[in-house]
Amino acid sequence: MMHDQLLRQSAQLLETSGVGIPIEGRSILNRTGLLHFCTLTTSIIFLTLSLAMSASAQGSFSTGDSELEKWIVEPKLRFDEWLDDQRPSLEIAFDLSMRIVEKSGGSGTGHVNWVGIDLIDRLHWDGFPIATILVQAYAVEVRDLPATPIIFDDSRDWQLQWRFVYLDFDRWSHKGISWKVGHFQVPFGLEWTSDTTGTLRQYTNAKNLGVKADWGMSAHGTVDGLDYEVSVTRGSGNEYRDVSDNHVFAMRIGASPGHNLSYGVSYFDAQLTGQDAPVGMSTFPKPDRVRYGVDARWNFPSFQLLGECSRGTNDDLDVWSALLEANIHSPDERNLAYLQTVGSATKGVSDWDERVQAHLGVKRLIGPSLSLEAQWTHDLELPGNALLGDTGVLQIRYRF
Amino acid sequence: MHRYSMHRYLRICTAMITVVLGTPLRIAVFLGAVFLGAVFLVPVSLVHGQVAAEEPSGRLVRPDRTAPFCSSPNYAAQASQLFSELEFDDVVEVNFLINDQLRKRIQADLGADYLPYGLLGKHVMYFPVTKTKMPIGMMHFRKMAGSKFGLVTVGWRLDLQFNLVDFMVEGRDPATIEIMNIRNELNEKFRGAGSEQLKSWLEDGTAQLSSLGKRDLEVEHLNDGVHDVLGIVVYLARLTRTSAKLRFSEQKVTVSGNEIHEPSMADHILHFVSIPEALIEQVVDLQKVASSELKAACATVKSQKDEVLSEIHCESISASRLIMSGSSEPYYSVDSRMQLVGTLSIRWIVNPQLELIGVHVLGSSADMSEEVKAMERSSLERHIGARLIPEAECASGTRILVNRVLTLCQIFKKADH
Repeated sequence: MMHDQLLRQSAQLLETSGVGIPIEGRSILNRTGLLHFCTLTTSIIFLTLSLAMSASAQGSFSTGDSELEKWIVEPKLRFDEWLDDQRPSLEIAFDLSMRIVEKSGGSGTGHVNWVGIDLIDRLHWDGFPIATILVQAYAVEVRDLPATPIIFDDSRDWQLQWRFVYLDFDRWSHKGISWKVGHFQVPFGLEWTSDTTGTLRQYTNAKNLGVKADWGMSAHGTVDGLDYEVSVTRGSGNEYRDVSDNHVFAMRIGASPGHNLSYGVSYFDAQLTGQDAPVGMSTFPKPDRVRYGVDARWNFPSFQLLGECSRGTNDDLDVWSALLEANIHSPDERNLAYLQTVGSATKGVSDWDERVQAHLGVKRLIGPSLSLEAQWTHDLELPGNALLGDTGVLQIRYRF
Repeated sequence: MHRYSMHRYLRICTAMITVVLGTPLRIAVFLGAVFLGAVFLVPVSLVHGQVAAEEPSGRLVRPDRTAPFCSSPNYAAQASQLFSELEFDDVVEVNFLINDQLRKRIQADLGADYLPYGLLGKHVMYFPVTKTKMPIGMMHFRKMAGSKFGLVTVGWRLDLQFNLVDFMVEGRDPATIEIMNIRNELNEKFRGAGSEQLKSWLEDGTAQLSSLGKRDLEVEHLNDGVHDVLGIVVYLARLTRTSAKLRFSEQKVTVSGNEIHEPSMADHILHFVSIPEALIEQVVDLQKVASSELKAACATVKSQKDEVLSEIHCESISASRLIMSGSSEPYYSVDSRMQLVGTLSIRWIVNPQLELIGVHVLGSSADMSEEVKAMERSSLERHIGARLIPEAECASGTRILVNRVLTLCQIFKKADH
C-alpha cells in the first residue's frame, strides 16, 4: 500500500517537472542524472564483484599461502613468534594502502597512499594490568586529489598522521570505568560504534563536527548494559595545538552495538582551532560548534539499517546533519555492501545551504591481510550553484 | 534539525528510493544487482565461519590482520556477569598465541579434521583474581559467524581444572537473547558434559547442533535460529576448553631444558592445575621460596652421605610454599627437571606431613614425543602417596627423584618451625 503510494508520488513528481523532481523550485534529480546513477551503480558493483571473485577464485591467495605472500610475510611471521616469546601482550602490524580517486568533470585521477604501523600492548604493574597502549602512526601521501585536505601543503605532499595514539587505563573496566589519554576518536554518533579507520565507509563526524580524532582525555565504560564515553580534548585534530581557548567536550551514551537494536544519544560542544578544515572543505569559517545527536542501528538477517541525525549551531548559525544507511553483509562480516545518503545544511542569510550526497560502496576482506573497497559518491545537492558530480574511489589495503 | 529542511532531506531520500524502484526497468536493474550480490558477493563467504570449519586447517597458516588493533575488543568487563556470584578484585589478562604447532595439537586433541579460520593468532585469557592474585577461574571469548545476523560472540567461563562453568552469548541475532534466557538450564547440561558428549551434540566437524544435541539440551521445541547459535556455543565450548587446557596446563620448555619465562599469572595457573582439585579452594597465597633458602636447602641435600640423594641438580629446581586457609602449615610445590630422550619438567606437590600428593608434568622439550611423555607421566603418578624413605639405595630412578624432593621439603619444613 505504502509502496504504491510512493510510486504514485514519484510518478507525479516526474510528470510535474517534466525533467526531474522539483524541490523548492529546483530540479535536483533529472532523468539523465538518475540513469547515470543506475548505470554507475551497476558498473561499480560489477567491477568490484569481478575483482573480488577473481581474487577469491585463487584459493591460495584467499588463504594467504601464495608464494608471493609467503615471501612478503614470512619474515614478519618469524618476527611475531619472536615477539611473542619476548612480550606476549605486544602486537605490531604494518598497514599499506593505495586509494585511487576519480571525480567527474575532468579533474584527473588522484591518489592517497599510506604506510603505517599499528601497535598495541598491555602495561602491567606488580602483576596486574593497568593500561593498554595503542599507537597508530601513518605516513600519508596525496597526489592530485580533487580536494586536497588542508593539512597538506601542496596537491602533491605527504604528512605524518596520527590516527589513534593513546593510553587507556582500563584496570577497572570490569567496574565500569576506564580512563583514556592521548589521540582518540571523539565520542559522537554512529562513528563511535564502527571501525572506520582507513576505510572508505565513513560517517558524519569529520565534516559535521570538524574533528574526528583529537588529543585529550576521556572516561568510558559500560554500566548496566549502556556504553558511555565522556571526553575533553584540545580541538586541534591531528596535531596538538593550543591556539586560544580551543577545546572539545563530547559525550555519547548508548546501548551496546552488539545487540539487535542499538541506539545512542550524543552531545558535542567545541571551539575548534579553525585551522584544519574537514576533508572536502577548503576553509573552516565556523569553529564554534554545538551538536545534539541521536543514532540507531537496527539489524535484520544479513541486513542492517543505520540512521543518525544531529542539529545545533556553527557560531550563531543553525545547522543540521543526517545520515541513513542500508547495508548487507555476509555472516562473517567480511563482505559488505552499503548505500548511504548523507545530508547537511547551514542556515544562510535567506535560505539553507544544503549538501546531500549518496554513497554506494562495497568492501571485501580477502584472506588474512587483504581488503578491497570501492565507493561511488553522487552529489544530489550542493550549496550555492556548485556543479553536481560523481566521485569514484577504489582502495586496496594490505595489513600484515 | 529544522523541520522544513529535514522534511526536504527526507523527501530526497524518499525520491531516490522511489525513482530507483519506480519503474519495471529499474526494478529489474536493482533486483539484478541484488541478485548478483546475493549470488557472488555474499555466498562466496556465506556462513564463512561454518563453512570455513570445513576447510582443511593446514591451508590457513597465519592470523587475520585485516582489522586494526583499535577495534580489538576487551572483554574484562564481562567478568562481572560471568563471575557474578564470586568476589574478585581485578581481572588479569594473559595473552597466548595459537600458532601452527598449537593448532595441530588442538586439532589432534579434539579429533577434528578441520578447525575454524579465526583460530590462529593472539588470544586473551581473562583471570578474575583476588587481592592476593589468586585466580578464581578463567574466561575466554571468541567470535564466529552465525547463520544470518553476522558474528556471534561467545564467552566461556572455566574453572581452574578447565571444566565448563558458565557462558554468555552476544550478537545481533535475537536467538542470542533466547539462549541467555535459558542459560541456567543449559549450564546444568554443559557442566556434566565431557568432550565426547559435546562432540556428539554436533554434526560431524561442523558447528551445527545434531539431533542428539537438541534432545540432550532439551531445545527441540525452539526455532532454527536458536539451534544455529547454540551449535556455535557447543562448538566453542570444546574448542575453548581444549585450547585452554593445552596452553595453561603446560610450560614451554626449550630443547636445552630451560623453561621459557611465563607471565606470573600463567605460572599461578600452572600451580592450580597441579594441586589436587579438593585443595584448590583452600589456597590463599603462593610464596616462592627465596633463592638463598633454596640454595642452602639444596646444599644440605648435596652434603648428605646418601650418594643417590646427593646427586641432586640444584640449578634446575625451584619451589613455592602454598598457604592454605584450613592449615597452619604450608604445602610445598617443587619444580624439577628430568633428562630422558629430551627434557621433562615436573612439579611435585607435598603436604605438611611430607607426603607426595600430586605430580604434574609441566612440559617437555620439543624433542620428546607425546608417547614418551605420557609413559613417564604414568610412571611418576604411581608415586602419589609416597613418603620419605631414608637411605633408599635400591629404589627405582623415579623413586629417587621423589626422595630428593621430599628431603628438600623436610628441610623447608624445619625452616618453617
